[in-house]
Amino acid sequence: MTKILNILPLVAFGVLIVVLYSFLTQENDQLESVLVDQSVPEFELPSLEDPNKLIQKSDINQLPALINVWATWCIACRVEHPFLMKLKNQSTVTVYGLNYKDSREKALKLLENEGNPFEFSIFDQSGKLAIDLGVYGAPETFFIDEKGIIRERHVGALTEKVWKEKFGKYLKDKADA
Amino acid sequence: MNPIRKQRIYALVAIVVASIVAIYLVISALSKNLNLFYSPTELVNSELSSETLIRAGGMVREGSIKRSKNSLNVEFIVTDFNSDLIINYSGILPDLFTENAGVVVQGYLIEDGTFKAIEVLAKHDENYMPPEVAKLMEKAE
Amino acid sequence: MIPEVGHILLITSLVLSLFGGLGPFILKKDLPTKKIALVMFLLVLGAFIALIYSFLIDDFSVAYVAQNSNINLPTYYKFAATWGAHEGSLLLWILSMNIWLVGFIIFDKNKNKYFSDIVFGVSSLVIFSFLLFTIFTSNPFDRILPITPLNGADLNPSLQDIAFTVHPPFLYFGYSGLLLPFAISISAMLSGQSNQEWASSSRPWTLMACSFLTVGIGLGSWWAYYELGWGGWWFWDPVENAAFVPWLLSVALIHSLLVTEKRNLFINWSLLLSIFAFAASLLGTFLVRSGILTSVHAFALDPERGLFLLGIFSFFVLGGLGVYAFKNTIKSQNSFYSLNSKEFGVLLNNVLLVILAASILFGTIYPLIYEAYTNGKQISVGAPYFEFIIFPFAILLGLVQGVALYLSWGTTKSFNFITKLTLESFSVFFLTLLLLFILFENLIATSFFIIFIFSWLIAGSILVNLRFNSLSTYVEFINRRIGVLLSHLGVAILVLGVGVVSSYSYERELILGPGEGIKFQEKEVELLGISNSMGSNYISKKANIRVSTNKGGFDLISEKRTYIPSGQVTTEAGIEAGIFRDFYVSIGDNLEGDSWSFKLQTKAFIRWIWLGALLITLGSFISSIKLLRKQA
Repeated sequence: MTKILNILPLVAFGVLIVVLYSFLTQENDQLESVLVDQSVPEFELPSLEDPNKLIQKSDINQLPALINVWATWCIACRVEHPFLMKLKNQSTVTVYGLNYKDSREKALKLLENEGNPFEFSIFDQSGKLAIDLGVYGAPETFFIDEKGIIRERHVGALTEKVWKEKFGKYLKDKADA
Repeated sequence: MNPIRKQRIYALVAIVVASIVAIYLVISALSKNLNLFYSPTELVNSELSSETLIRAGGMVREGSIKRSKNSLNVEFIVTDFNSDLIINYSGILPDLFTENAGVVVQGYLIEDGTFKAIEVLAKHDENYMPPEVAKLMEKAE
Repeated sequence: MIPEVGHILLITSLVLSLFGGLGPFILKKDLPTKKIALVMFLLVLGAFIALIYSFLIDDFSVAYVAQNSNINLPTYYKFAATWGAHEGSLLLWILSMNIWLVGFIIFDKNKNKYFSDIVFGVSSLVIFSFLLFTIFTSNPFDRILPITPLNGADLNPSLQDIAFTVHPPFLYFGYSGLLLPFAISISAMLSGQSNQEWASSSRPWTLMACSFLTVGIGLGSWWAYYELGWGGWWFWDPVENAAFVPWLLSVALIHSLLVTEKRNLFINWSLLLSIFAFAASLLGTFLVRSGILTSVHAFALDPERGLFLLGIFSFFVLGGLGVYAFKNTIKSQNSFYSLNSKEFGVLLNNVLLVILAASILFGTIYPLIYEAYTNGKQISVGAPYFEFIIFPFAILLGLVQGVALYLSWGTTKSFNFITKLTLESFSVFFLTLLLLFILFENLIATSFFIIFIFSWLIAGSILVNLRFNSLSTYVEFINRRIGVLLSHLGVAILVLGVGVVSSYSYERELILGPGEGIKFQEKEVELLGISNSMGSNYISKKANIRVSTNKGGFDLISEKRTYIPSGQVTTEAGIEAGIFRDFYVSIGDNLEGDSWSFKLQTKAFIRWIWLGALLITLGSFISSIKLLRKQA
């Protein structure tokens, strides 16, 4: 009897831990499922660089590509910026920017100071396209394959490690960074 | 029965009784105080009684906030980009409440399809959206 | 350079803690634990200072500084921003654990070196795992290079407040303090230390951890009251519950350890509870930082970090319980105690506290369970659940506490005190009601229950019933037991505060334009005007309010602040504090022109809640120090 009582707390906590683990992994799955395997939604928004120019889904045509959600108020974006510049110079994957809820003036200034890794940036001040994409905040990066389908979404700064481990599998056929 | 045995039984009884009472309390409290969360789309199609306190939420539609000029009444629209829900509230809105941000309200669904909010909650973490709202954004895609 | 130094110090302490952790177990060496503990402490302290320094010199090349500070942030907040977010607060946690360990090594007077070594070993292992977690997933010294931001994001405006900078350190000290009872319990089981000795080692540290938890939680409540702007002082928010549960368990543990030390009973229970209390503390950390729960101050982290934390939790809790199940060398004993004994009183106390803690924990994680098992349906468990649950437990606990100090070990010979106690309680009860009536010109029936419990507790704490030969022996007795009496008195006052504020407070939301006034709670409230103002990192609209009666009045200011650069909006309340009642004004929304909505409140006896918490803090702290000095 006492033996059972002694082991009981151990077993009970073991169960609790399994339950907590399942919560965590479930959260993970849910985060990742948005929009995967669907094409980029239709949109029409001004370009950051040229307010008079309207950008549409069809302008995202150099594939495969990344759509990177960024803003001047996003600090982690500064962390990933150098890596995005590296991608621009060394990779065949095009990086498109989605400037999210930002000031045009500040955003342009930042690109001028730090360099512009983007083919162009979509100026999504209201966040409409971001909402359609299921964006939580910045930085986030979506990987779009040659057919224009969203294959992967990464929340957080894009680093060499994430690039290799998360997006790498879609680039197997290319000689890439 | 030896006294130690007796005492052990008393202790055991105390524990069991307290546990049963607690379980009863927990179940009873839960059944009365669980608030299910609904998205605007779910509410449009629902047949919820207007007596049940529920939570609803979504993104506050841009330009939809209408404040009365001389009363505390405010109306705004909450959307999951599939359906819209009109929310009526009387009171002061929290500081984090703003257009194009996620919000959760607690209140009652009225027969005419609008929602009467008793509480407006805009507490969330750095990522701009209450998870309930974030998840229903995904579902709506 | 300095961040690198900090980083190196962390790595060095990582290695040292691993060595210290494995030493007693694997190497079975006789380690110079005092020296190692001191060196570890200094290393972590050094790293902490390096981080503070980076904040103070605005080194935005350090990512954590850039995320949480700003050139225009007042210097004091730059200092406090060090623990304003996840990475820095983890470092503070680790520093706290080191301080506790050094404290134990220096002040514990246990003569069994093997016992002390294992306590040291277990503690080092915990420190090691946290250091591992920090260095590999949450390094505060990560740099943003080569392009360094010119300015930082800013400290979250809600944190730019004195109370809020002080609240985390106290709270983390409390949480991490439960490490020692845990380590002592493991060590007791492995070393076969006598119950009287390990329990007497553990009790002062448990008391001190409880003391810090109490003041930490109290500060959090006080801060929420005046900073969040809406007059609330407890929200049953998951983060609050995550601190409340360990607090309840630590209180239970204090009493259980008392019985174990003095009467050689409840041994296995004390061992287990020591593990549970620390587990609750770790669980709280996990829940708050893993992102699975939302709350006002969730750290918004990713599940990967959550997994690591879950791993730490699993290792130590399952490890501890494993030792309990298989390697427990402590022999149990049985002696008799009757239903009217102090032992039974403690048993009731523990049963009630632990079941209450479990119910609160359940309510906190139930939404997660529900969501997981109904395939995504989301619910929330709100304040009404917790209030409903806690009420009967509070009543029962109050009843037990009232008589507790009169009970004797083994069996209580005489129950004459009950009559006197009841009479005294009713006297206090009616006096309190009289006071409330005079103050508020109203008596609310629903408050009577709690006020009676308060009265019962007061009578129970003042102990006039025990026979004393003279006033001087009574005074000497009070002196001897001052810690216990203060804490128990603190509970009484806390209960009164909670009871009165729930029933005798009033609120109203209304609209005022400049020059307009209204009558609220026998006072004239007038909006004198709205003015614009600026702080070092915000702009604000100030509402000047005048509150007056025919006997005089006071002016209050409530502000709506917009912080640059984050754009975040906060409300600063205008509060007129009083012993018996606070007058509370918060500015709401701008309706038209200078017309704004306002919330007016009177909060009755609210300061008694924090006074009670303060007394509990003091009482348990004093008891702790007394025990440490007595250990000879």
